[in-house]
Amino acid sequence: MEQKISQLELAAKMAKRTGITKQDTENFVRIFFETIREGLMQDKLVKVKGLGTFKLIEVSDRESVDVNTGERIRIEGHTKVTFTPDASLRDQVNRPFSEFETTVLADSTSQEDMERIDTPAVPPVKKTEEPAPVQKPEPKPEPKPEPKPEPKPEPKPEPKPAKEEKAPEQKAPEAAAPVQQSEGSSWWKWLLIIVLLFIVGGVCYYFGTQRGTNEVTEPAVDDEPVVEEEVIVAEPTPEELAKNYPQVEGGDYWIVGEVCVHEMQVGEGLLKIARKELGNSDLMEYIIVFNDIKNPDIIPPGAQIRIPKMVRKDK
Amino acid sequence: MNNKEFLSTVMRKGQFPSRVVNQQVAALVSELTAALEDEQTVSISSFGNFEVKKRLERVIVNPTTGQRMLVPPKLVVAFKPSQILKSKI
Repeated sequence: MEQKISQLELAAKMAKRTGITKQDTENFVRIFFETIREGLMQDKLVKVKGLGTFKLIEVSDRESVDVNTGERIRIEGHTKVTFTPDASLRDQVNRPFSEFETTVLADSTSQEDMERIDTPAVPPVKKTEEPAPVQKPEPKPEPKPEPKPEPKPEPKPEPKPAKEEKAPEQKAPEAAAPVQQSEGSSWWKWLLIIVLLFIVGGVCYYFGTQRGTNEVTEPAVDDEPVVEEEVIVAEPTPEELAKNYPQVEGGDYWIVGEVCVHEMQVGEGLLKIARKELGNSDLMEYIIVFNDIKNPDIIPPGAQIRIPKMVRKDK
Repeated sequence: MNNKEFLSTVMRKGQFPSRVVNQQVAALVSELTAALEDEQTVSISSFGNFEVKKRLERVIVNPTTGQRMLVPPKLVVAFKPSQILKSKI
């Protein structure tokens, strides 16, 4: 597997395929790559069908910090070669993993859920019934970014691989199925169960990502009033919550709480943490303000950095 | 420089007929792809190495929506220019 093929071996394989002499093929390979190089120097861009695109990119001077000494160092500007594989090459190489797609995770999907998902069968009903009672009585510190009682119109980006599916969703088909069959005497019982499941689903959704997660499509209209009752619990708005914390002036987000504490590692900077924890290094400013950091360039390893919980400001 | 210009330059430089160039390019690309598919590194002297790297799955956060997404693991082709190529450019 971990094997290296040289230019000559490549040429030999090609010669076998085309029936052209080895020498000619080697010659061709040499010229092929030489031409790419010349093309790069001439146009800064070479496209080869089936292989990909080679590009020259200018990197300007920049300042950095030596991670060990904390000294400022200067990285000189230079030109670098980048290669972007053609779609066909990329897909071919990625074939072992091709069936995976990016999927939206619900907030309620914790680490243990992910581990359990790896085992083939997930017992969905049990799972959601459990967390619900725990979550309900809690005072909800979460902000309310959108009016809640209309989860129905939400788009449902259904991920194909069943792997990361959110629990309430897995339940949905089950809930839907009984409705159609249940004309008989146990009609009320079924309705009760459905309503219960929907409440649980609603709560889970509520604790789920703040918008746009995969949502349960509503089977019955009867459930609607129930949801509204559920929702009435008073919520502090982001603005109210934000008063308790330092804010970034002119920023797009409110800081409304603390998510976790991050311990600085050797060689780590705030930019890196911002990218990792907040998803964008531009949001570093929020960490600086939240932690009241005086000099963001020098943060000793082992320092405890609190990661803020952020909510987008309404316009 | 697009594919067409590139091929004609190769043709001119090596004095190959176009049919041979097309055939050779197709063979090169498919052999290279086949080698990379087996996770082999292809090293072209004075140009660089093509290798396959594994990217682990990871969770990303969309900062505007707060959505968390799971990006699946994948295999990607990486090109590492050789020192010679770097110094020439």
